[in-house]
Amino acid sequence: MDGRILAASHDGAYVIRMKGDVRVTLCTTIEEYFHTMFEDPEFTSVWVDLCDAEGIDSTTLGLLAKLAINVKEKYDFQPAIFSCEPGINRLLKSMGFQRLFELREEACASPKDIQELPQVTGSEATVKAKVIEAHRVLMGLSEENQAKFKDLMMALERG
Amino acid sequence: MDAPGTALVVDHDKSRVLALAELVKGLGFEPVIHTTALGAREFLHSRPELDVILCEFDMEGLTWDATRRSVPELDHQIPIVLISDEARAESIMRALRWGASDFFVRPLDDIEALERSLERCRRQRQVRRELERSRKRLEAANTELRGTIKVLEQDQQAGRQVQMRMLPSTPMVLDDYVFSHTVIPSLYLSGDFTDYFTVGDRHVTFLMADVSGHGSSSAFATVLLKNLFARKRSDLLRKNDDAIYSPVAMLKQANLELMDLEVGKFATMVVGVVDTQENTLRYSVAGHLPQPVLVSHEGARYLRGEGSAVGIMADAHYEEHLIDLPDSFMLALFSDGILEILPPKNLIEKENYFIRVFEETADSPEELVTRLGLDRVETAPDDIAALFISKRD
Repeated sequence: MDGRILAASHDGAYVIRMKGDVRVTLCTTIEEYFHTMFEDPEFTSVWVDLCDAEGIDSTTLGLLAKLAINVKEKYDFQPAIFSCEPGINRLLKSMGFQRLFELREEACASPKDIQELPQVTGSEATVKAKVIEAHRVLMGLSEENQAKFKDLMMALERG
Repeated sequence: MDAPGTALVVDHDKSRVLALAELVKGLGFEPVIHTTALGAREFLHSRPELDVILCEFDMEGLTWDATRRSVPELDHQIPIVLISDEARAESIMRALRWGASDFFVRPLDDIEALERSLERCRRQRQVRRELERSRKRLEAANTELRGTIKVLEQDQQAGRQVQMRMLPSTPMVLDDYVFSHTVIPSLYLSGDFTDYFTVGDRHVTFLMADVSGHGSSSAFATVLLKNLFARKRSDLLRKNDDAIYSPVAMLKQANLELMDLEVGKFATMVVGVVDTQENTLRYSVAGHLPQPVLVSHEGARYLRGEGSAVGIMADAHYEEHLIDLPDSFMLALFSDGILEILPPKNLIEKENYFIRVFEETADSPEELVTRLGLDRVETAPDDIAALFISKRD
């Protein structure tokens, strides 16, 4: 399956979803999206959903690492990665991503069980609840209801 | 205001042709008169810039069936307006089937209709000319692009030459030890790099690096790494700096230098130091897959080790491992391009498949290369570099 990178936000909670075999040759669109995200005054959290990813190339890994480093610098928390494919987890760990992200290896199947999500520190309980709720909404967006998601992989970005 | 159009007016009747030319002139077209079919045809062969042809339907010396075959060959695509004394439906139908754009019957009293018709013809021609101009512009741009690509390819090939020369000589034989390598770039330039060199009289430092991405920027990063190791090798003698003996110190240095480069490039690496006197290996892995494979009479195994890739985070930390080497062994390091060409789908299965190849293959690099299909890879999806270190007792 060709790779896709999708992104959406809900009440300041952002999700980056990667599907298939993700290979990025030009990453301007993705970098622009991250830039806009950091400009958003509502920004409270971001997580990366790799549950449907089959492969990730080194450029994409670099982008993710940069995202985590920026989040840590600006908002002082580590974003979460949801991934339960052993091969993908092996790749993330070999690169030392457990030091950049919170790796959630079991959450793909049951997003309902998620009680905690890394987010902007010092936010109140209501914000926490909002983030969890946003997460549910975004995780629950079905294939047909993907309009909220913006495809960050343009045709010309296919390597 | 549009430029005035040009109209070819053809009729064997001289007085009619002059009157028609006058009329056409009044409608803002520059008339060109021909009174013979042959003359008109020769004139058309010279590819004049025309907007419209006005022609007598019953023209002497002109059979439309033949003309229809010859005029399209001129590929002029000039609209033709036919004029006749008779308004026979059958003639009109024929004319339209031949591709005439309009048909008028004498006397030409509806001048406005003629004017509209000629205007339509002129607009049509303008659109065609614009298309033609666009096509020419595109072709010019295309030619220019092809030229630019040619230059880029030449640059890439020059870079490739330089990169190939940076690689160490292969094989390098040192008593019982043999060091060899092979690099298959997917493009002209590669982000994969390997090197090995003696340090002092008993050590050999080696590295395998896989810089993220492709092309020139990745290749420059390999130059930087080559330079770093060469510098640290000479620092040992000049400054008493023994970083070159320490894989972790080298990785930390590489990490700093890639971060400083600020080109968003990072690299996975394996750095090792072989002590040929003690037959030991000191190594460190920076996010590199597949991990080094050690093959001996006991079978094949991965040399474990974790650590972040270099060039991502400032406070990266690396583990150093020290192992005793078997009396007879082969150590193989590959860049991750090799994983791409292995049949299994996911990474863990690929790693298992890869180690099995070593289990089932006698321990010569040549045989391995064949077994992994490396000698048949025309263009790999990703660069593939391999470094082999072997020792016979």
